[in-house]
Amino acid sequence: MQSSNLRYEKILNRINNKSMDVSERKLSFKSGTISILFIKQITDRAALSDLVVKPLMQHSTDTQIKAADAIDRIVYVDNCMLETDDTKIESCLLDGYTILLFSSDAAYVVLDIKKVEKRAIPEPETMYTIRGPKDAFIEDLDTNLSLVRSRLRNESLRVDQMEVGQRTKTPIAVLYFEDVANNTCVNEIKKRIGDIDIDGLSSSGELQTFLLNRKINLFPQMGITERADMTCGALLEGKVVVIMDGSCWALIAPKVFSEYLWASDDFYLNKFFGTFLRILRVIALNLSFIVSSLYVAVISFHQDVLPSSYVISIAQSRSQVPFNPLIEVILIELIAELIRESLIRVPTKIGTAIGIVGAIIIGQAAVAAGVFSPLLLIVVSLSLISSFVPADYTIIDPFRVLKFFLIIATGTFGFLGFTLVILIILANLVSLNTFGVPYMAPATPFNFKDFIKSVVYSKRMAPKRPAYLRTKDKFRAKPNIKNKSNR
Amino acid sequence: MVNTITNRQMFFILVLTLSAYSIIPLANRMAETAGTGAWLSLLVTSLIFMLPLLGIVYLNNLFKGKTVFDYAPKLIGKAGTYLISMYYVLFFLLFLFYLVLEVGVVLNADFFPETPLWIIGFICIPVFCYISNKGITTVARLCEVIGMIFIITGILVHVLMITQGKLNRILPLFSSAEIENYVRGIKPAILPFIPMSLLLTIPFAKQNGKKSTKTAVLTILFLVFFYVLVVESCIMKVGLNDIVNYKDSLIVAIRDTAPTFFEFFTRLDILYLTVGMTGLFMGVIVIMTVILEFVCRMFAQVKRSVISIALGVMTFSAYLILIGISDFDIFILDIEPYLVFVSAMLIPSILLIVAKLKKVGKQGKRHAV
Amino acid sequence: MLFKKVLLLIMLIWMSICIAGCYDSMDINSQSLITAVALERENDEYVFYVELPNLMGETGQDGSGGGKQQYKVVRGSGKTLTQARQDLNYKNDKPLFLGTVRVLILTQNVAEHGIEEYMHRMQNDNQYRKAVNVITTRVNPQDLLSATPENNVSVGFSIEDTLNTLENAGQKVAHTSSDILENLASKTCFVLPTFDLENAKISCTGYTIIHRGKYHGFIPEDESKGLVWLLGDDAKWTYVIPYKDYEVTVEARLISRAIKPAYSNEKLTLDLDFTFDTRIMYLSKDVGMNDFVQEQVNQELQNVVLGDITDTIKKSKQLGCEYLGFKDFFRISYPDKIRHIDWLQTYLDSSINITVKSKIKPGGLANFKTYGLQPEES
Repeated sequence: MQSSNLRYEKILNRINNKSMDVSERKLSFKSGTISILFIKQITDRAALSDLVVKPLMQHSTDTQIKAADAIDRIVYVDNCMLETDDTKIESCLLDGYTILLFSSDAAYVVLDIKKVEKRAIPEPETMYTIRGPKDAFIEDLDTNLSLVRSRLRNESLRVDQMEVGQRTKTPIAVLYFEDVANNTCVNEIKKRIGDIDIDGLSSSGELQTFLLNRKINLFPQMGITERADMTCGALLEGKVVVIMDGSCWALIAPKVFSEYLWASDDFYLNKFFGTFLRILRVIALNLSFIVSSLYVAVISFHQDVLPSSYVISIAQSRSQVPFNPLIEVILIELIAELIRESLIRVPTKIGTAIGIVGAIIIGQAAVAAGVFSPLLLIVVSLSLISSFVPADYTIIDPFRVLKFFLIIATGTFGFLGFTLVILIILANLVSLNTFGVPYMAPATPFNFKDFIKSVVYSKRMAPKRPAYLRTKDKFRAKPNIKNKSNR
Repeated sequence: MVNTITNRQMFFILVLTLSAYSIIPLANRMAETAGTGAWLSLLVTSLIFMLPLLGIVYLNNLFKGKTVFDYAPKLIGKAGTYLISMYYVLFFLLFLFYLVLEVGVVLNADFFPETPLWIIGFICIPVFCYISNKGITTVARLCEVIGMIFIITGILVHVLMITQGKLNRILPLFSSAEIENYVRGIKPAILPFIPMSLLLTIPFAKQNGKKSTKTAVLTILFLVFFYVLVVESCIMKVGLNDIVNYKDSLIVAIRDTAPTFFEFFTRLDILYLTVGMTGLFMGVIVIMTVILEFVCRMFAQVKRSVISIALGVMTFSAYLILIGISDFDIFILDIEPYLVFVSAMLIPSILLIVAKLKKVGKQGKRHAV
Repeated sequence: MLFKKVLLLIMLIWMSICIAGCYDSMDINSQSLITAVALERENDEYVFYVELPNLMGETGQDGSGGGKQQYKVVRGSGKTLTQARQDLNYKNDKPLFLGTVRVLILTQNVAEHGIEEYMHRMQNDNQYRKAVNVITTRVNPQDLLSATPENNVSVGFSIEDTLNTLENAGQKVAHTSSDILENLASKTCFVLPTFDLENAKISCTGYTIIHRGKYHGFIPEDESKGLVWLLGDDAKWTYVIPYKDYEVTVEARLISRAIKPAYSNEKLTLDLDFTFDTRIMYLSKDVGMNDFVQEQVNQELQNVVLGDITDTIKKSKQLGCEYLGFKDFFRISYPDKIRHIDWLQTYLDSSINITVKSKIKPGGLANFKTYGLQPEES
């Protein structure tokens, strides 16, 4: 008894000395004192009062209360644990748990009545869909997991909880279907998460950098999504999803290049229209990357690839422009990038004004002043608009950077420079692997069926999962089994 | 992990390497010798080379996942292996120098007349080295992507040329009085097949199976079709008597084509400048990769990137020297039949015969199944 | 680590050398874009006339669209082609760009002197497209290039459009520079369309015959129907056939043209078979027509066409020049003999059999048989 008291005092002193902003509620009983320790900013005070303090107070003060008794008969909290390791008290408090410390018992109770302020489930902001569901992830891991679990009611869904960050101890959930996902991929991801040695992570973007093969990665090799339906779709395909507390973006692995050009609406719309949109995105991606370089190559080097009437017309429209095409293109691309970046950062109300000012200044005034040619403005606008077409914006980012290299190479050596840079980029793309899957699959190594399915997609037509994912279960649905509606 | 290629990749590697540069002067060389019967000379030459190709494919299938450097010691001993490796390295080096020089000359003559020749080599060779350094798997995948686009664009362009050309220019297709010319036409038709033996350095994937033989046959048949298409379309467009005046007959013929029904695409140069050049470079890159693979196996202790840089420096130096030599291409064309005979026929035949005599084939077959 | 630093340094040097390049970079506005080139021979000198668009001034002084002449003509001359070209270069503030040339105009003087040298010059110039149309003219090129075409402001484009119109009408017999080079290499005689000024308007007035690279003769436009039938692709022509006291306008379209040479005992016989589809377009009077009349008209048409073709062949024999493409057919049938015979003499001594067949096809006003009076014949 005395030793329990001493221990109890010692723990309280230790916690008070650390200035962890821990609140204490003492309850006295015949046998001793119970201290309720909690951090008020992350504890549900109402639940604390109703489910812990009130029942304790209502309990008879004549009898001795042990920690086990408190769990079994007194407190009303659904998730509580009995602990004896005193060193874990601080970490439990910091995790948002409430501690019941007994002066007459070496054990203590850990209660889960956490309450962190979080926002309501929003609509997706960057991955908008017409026909698909409109719920998106938020920063709370539990809420995100609830969105996934409400869609996937299968016993083989695994949710492995891990923690990263010595100071932040950020919870991370690794989700996969045990009988579908490739073990190598799952183990690799879990290993890489386990190997992270850092003081803290604040977003899934930072986590992503630790999970990739190389330190320097230009092309994205993990998908990101803020949508629960896309997450579930990825899990059903046999992929592994990593959700981090504090980030509304889930990471999906492995993800190949062609998948960045898919959007969720492709799955919900008529398959022919979905195909049309996919092809449109491929064209848009190519246009956004090469159209400015083609302009430079044709105007500066290879004018005779155009019909004569076009050449003369272009020459007439550029007759007042003082810059050479390379400088012209680089200037206007820089301006376009500046406008794009400023529109992200600026408050919405001013954003519209910037868009109008940018359009007027660059569009009208620059052409009227003869600073830029009208054709170039069309070319760059086309490039800019095309860059917004792919659903997953992360695939455009490397091309935004590489575009400048391509422009400079083309401006220096014409189509020779253009071809060489394209070759280098292609070589890098085909040499990439994303968690053991070739990045350019199914284009190379070529698989005809997967390639067709990546263009013309319909779940009804594709009972098999893509071969390049090397899943354990190759079939989405067994062949010749009719899909029965159970509800 | 051993870098292996699939059947499909083998097809594209062969198509790009064997055709990318050789189709440029092919039409004028065939027109000079075989005249309107060029198609026949090409067909006969391709059929002649089908046999050695099948032999090489058979060897590769016998020793799946291995290159000649790996299985030759079992057959002909280490000394013999080094001997043939040295031969192949020198052979492919010579061909690489020829190819790089010709690529530079073509680009300078047809598209970049003001750019000094040495600059073209200076910017292209490091890029080739960089890509070939990435390994045979990367190069094979690249060939798969680029090869498809190259073939589709090539067929489209040549069909357009046929629609714009004059049929009379390729007639008569056969004349018994010209048979001697058709036979003479076999020698220039050997040029596309020079690098055929590169397959010996590229290991086949285990899942290739017997389909690789079928793929090899289809590759040759496709190449026959493609060469005939190229040559005949060029002759139809430019004319038999005039085409002999151009060294780069393909490019001249493409520039001559102006399909008016495509308002925007009246000039097809842009397709050659992008797709054609990419295919051309891929052919050089494959040869460079093959040399790199050979040399890396021979000097396993040296880092691959060091060998790659050394190869690049050597290639550029040779390029600078050969710019000053006017008849290097004639020299190559004169000795090519002998080189090809040794590299594509003699050495693989010896290896095959020894493999059969030593009954490695039986064991090999068991593993293959 | 050191290796990587050395590699980085090498890359930096390499990129710096590369970026210092731009050897072939030539801005579109830094060049003089040429739409037409004319070559004349005057006083033992070569004279170049080139048509250049005026890129700076587009509208007229009063601000109206179109404005004044937007193309200008620049002249350069010299004893040799190289000197003439150099003179042209000196007179232009920007280098000449030949990639936009639509038409090459050779005057009769140049043709008489010989066109081979200039064609070989074109052959080795990569800027010059081999698909450039080549024509001849009998007027001063300066006047021709200074003319104001109806719809276009450029003479080069105008002539090209005229050739396209003729092609659509099935009446084009023209060659690009690539075809001319092939004809010169195979020593084949050929014809080039001739454009002259008629009432200050540019029009096609006939065809110039080029034999061994030199001017050999001229075929006026009204005598060129046979030429079109013998050389044109998708040839068609409209004939007005007089019948009794009215005229029948028919359109004849060439369906097939078979030229079969037969060579034996050093004698050449050419069998020419022409098959036409004919369509009766309209009558000059509102009379009826029945099968018999149609057949008569058809017969008459065949005679007329036969006459045109025969006249053309006779003319070529009179001129002592085979420009009708028969050599090619002979080469196809007798590839070994073509190298050993004197083709021209063989052709001149040859006998030619011409068969013309035509069939009236329904279409247009073919149903007017039911209109008007009953014809007298049954």
